[in-house]
Order: sequence, then structure tokens, then C-alpha cells
Amino acid sequence: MSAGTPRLFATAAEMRRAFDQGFAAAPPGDAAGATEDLLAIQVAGEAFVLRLRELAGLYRDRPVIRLPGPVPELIGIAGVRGIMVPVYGLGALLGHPRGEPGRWLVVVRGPDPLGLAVDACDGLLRAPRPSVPQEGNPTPHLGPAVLAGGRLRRLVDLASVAEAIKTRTGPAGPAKER
Amino acid sequence: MAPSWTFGRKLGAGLALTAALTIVIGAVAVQSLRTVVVAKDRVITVNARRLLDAERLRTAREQKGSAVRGFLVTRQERFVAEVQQARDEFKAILERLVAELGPGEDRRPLDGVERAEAAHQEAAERLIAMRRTDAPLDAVSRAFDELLDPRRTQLDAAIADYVAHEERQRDEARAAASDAAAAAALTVQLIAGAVVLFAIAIAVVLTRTLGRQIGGAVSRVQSSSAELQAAATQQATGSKEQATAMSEITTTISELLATSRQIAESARRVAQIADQTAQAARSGEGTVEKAHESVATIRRQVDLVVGHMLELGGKSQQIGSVVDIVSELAEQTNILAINATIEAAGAGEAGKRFAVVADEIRKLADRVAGSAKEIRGLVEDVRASVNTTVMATESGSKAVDAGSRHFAEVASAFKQIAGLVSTTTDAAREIELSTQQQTTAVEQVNLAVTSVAQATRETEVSSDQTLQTARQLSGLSRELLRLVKPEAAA
Repeated sequence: MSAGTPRLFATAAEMRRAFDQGFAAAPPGDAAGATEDLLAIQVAGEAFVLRLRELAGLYRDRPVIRLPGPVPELIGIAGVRGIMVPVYGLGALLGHPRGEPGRWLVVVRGPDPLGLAVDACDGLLRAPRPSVPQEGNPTPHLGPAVLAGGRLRRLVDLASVAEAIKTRTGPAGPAKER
Repeated sequence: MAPSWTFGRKLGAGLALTAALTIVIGAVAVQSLRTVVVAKDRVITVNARRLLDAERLRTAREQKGSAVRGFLVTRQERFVAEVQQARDEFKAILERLVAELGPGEDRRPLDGVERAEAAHQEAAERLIAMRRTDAPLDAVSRAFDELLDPRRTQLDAAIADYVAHEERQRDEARAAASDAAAAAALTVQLIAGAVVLFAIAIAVVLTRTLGRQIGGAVSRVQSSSAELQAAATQQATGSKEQATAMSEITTTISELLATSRQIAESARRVAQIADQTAQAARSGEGTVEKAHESVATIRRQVDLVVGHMLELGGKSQQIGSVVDIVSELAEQTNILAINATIEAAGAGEAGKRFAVVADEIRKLADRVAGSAKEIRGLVEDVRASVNTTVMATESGSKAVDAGSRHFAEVASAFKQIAGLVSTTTDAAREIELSTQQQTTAVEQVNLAVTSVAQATRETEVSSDQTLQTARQLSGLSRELLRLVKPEAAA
């Protein structure tokens, strides 16, 4: 028996205790609304966070049917829960060079849900609610930086992204193509 | 004279020839002397005796005359007997003289004497008879004077004639003897002169021949003496050098003898140590054999360990596959939890309790993913350890194989070492025996060399003596050459 075995036993005990504690204690309240659940992702080697309340789903290795379109960032379409959503490359939308689309697909909540392909998903984070973006921010679609998971991550303004796509695609955008 | 003759032959021939001539001279001289002696003897014996007999005849005549006169005076018959006795003696002498005459000699003087004596006897007998007849003394005296006295004179004359004849014969014989002696002396002188001349000739020839040959021989002897002297000088020098070399050899052999004894002692030690080494090698061979067996056992154990490790690697790989499945399930659970959280967040206040469950599921999924990741790391560590162990075990197996082979080689080497050490022991013993024999041989050589050194010293002394003798011989040859050929020796 190696030296790491007691540590594993202690970890299992801690996990059991935390699991029991999670159901024994009352749900944590967030009356003041000081914290917010965020989804940590990676795009083109950079770490970002997305507001979990702006998302409709997260998928991995979802098949994407590639389609040509007027927007270069459009990759194709994918079927999610019975509906077809357009899938855009988030990296390209954030100004990075276009490359291979990520294997993770994030579906943005809204009347016209859209999918964003990201490279990786680092999990959920609970962080202090990000403040209002500073005026004169030169980077489009990005919000303030959030300290989550031990590193700084920029918040992606999904509403801005959806608005920009909608602006570029017009009334006859992908939503009408469903 | 034959040139191939030796000096002895030549000298002998010369001396023999000279002796032969001397013998001839002697023979001639002896013959001459014998002739002279015969002649003289004849003169002395025959002629002198004849003259003496002639005197005896004269004496007998005188006796017979005296007896006749005595009878005539006395008329005694005693005188007649004396007359007859004197006449018998006269006749005996006369007969002896006649008998001694040679075949060629003249006997007339003796015949005259015989006739005169017969006449005288006749006259004497007539007178005796007359006296016996008492004839007158005068008549007798006259008859004596007339008859007997003339016949006595005739007889004396006849005897004198015979004496003269014999004296002539004596003188002639003496002269003949003197002539024979002179002739013999002349012959001897002539032969002596011839012999002297011949001897001189032989001496000259021998002198020239022997001088030439002896000179040549002496010259060769001188040359040989010089060569002998040079050779003796070289021999003396060589003998000295040889004596020095023999002394050095003796010293070297003494050192060699000491070295041989040391080698023999070392060889004995080597044999002893080699014997001990052989025992150690045999012991080491047994130890190596046991070690070989231990290595074989280790090799089997290592093979088992390798098999178990490979099996453990396979199990670890299976665990990794299961962990992959668990990880995949955890990730899918996590995604599901995230979607549940998203749905709970979209449900508003009603979804908060569900959000708690979803959060716990997500945490559980995270922990499962973390544990799976940790298990994966552990499995990877196990697999790496297994691989490392397998590699190390295989290396160990190879090392064990190599060690086994090495042990086999070492065992073989030990056997070979044992054999070689045994051979070395035998060789060391042979070396020891050979060295002892060599030591004995060297001792014998030392003795022989000592004898040779002694002989060399004696040879050195002998060489000096030879050199001295050669010098003396060279001097003698020069002296002899000077005696034989003064012009050549000058």
C-alpha cells in the first residue's frame, strides 16, 4: 500500500461528507445577487466566461452540417432538441483567425437561439457578478474580466454577439431559415 | 747419386764406398804383405835352414873326419861307430835337403856333395881298413894325405859350392821378396791415392748435395720456424685472451649457477603456489557451479516476475480503459449537470432546488472526473512503472542470461584455469626438475670450465714455452743456415 492511499481515503470521506452536506444544508441564498454562475470556456487559446443564464444548452461533439452563408463566421447548422440552430465560430466572431471549429457547442438562449462553437469547456464557475463594462472598451463583444478558477477570464457579451449577428444577417437571417 | 736418397743413404753410400775401397786397400796390402811374408819366410825358413843344414853337413863332415882321425890314431872301434854315426847324420841331412828341393830347382850342387861324400866315405873306409890291417902308420898317414885329404877338400868344396848356391838362392829370394814388397807398397799407394781422390770426390759431391739440400731444408725450417714463432706468438696471445675469457666465463657461470639455484627455488615456490591455486580453482569451480544454479533459479523467478508484470500491465491497460469509460461518463454527467443547471437557471425560482441537485451532480461529476483523472494518472504511473519494471526485468533477465552465460563462461574459465593451473603445476615441477638438472649441469660445466681454465693457463704457459722454443729453433735454423750457406745467412 502506497503513501497516497490514506489521502485517497480522506478524499473519499470528504467527498461523502460534502455530498451529504449539500443535501443537508439549505440552498445557498443569493439575495443580494452578488454572485453569478458562469460557464468557463476556451477559444483560440484564450479563457473566457459566459453567463449561464444566457445559455440554453451545452453539447459536445454535436454534428454540424456545414453551410455557406453571407456571414463568414457561420459554420453550419446543428440539430438541438428538435430545432435547427445556426452555429458560428465564437473565435472568429471575437476577431480571431478562422480555423477548425471547436468540438463544443454552446446554445445561446433567446427568441432566435444560435449556436457558438468553442474549443473547450472548463466547467461551471461561481464568481462575483461582473461589473458594467467600461466605456471605450476597444474589444467588441467582451465584458469585464472575472477572476474565476484562479485566473482572469473575459466575459463574453452574448447579447452583443447575437445582436451583431442579427444585424449582419438582417431580417432574412438564419432564424427565418428554420 | 740419386737425388731422392736421404742424407743417411748418401752418407752411408759414401762411407760404404770408402770402406769398400779401404777394404780393397787392406786386402791388397794384406795380400802384398802375405806375399812379402811368404817370400821372406822362404828366405828365412828355407834358405836359412838350408844354409844351416849346409853348416850341419860341414859339422858332420868334421865329426866324421875327426872320428876317422881318431880311429886312425887309436884304432878304437868307437871312432868307427862315430864315423858311421856322422855319416848317417850327413846322409839324413842331405836326404832332407834333397827332399826339400822344388820341382824346378837345380839339384846338381847336392849331387856334387853326395858324390864328394861318397868319395870321401870310400877313402875313409879304405883308410880304416888299412889301419885295421896293421898297415904302417906312415903309410896310413900318406894315404890319408893322398887319398882322404883331397876328398875331404873336394867334399868341403862341394859343400862350399852348395852353400854358395844356397846363398845365391837366398839373395835372389830376398831380392824377389823386396821387389814384391815394393810392388805391393806401390799398389797400396796407388789404390790409397785412388781412394783418397774418390773420397775427395764423394766428399765434394756430398758436400754440395747435402749443402744444397740441407740449405734448402734449413731455409724451409727457418721459414717454418718464423711461421711457428708467429703462430706461437698468436697462440700465446690467444691463450692469454682465452685465459681471460675463461676467467670471465667462470665468473659468469658462477653467477649463472646462483641464478639457477634461485630459479629452482622460485620454480618450487611457483609449483607450491600453483598447487594451492589449483585447489582454490577447484573450490571456485564448485562455488561458481552453485552460483550458476542460483542464477538459473533467479532467471526462472525473473521470468515469472516478467510474466506477472506483463499481466499487471495488461490489467492496468484494462483499468485504463475502464477509467476512460468512467471519465467519459463523468464528463457526460458533467455536461448533463451543466445543462441541468442551465435549465434550472432558466426555470427561475422554481429551478433553484433543482439547481442544487444539478450542482451536486456536477460537483460529483467533477470529482468523478478528477478521481478518474487521478486514477488515470495512477494507472499511467502503474503502467509506466510496469513498463519500466518489465524493461528493467527484461534487462535483468537479459543480464541474468548474460550472467548465466558469464557464469557458464566463468565455470568453463574456472575449469580451464584449473586445467591450466594443473598444467602450470606440472610445468612448474618440470621447470623445477629441469632447473635442478640445469643446476647440476651448470655445476658440471663449472667444473669443466674450471678444468678448461686450468688447461688454458697451462696452454698459456705451454704457448710461452712454444714461443721460446720457436725463437730458439729460429735462431738455430739461422745458425745452421749460416753454417751451411754463409752467403744465404749473411
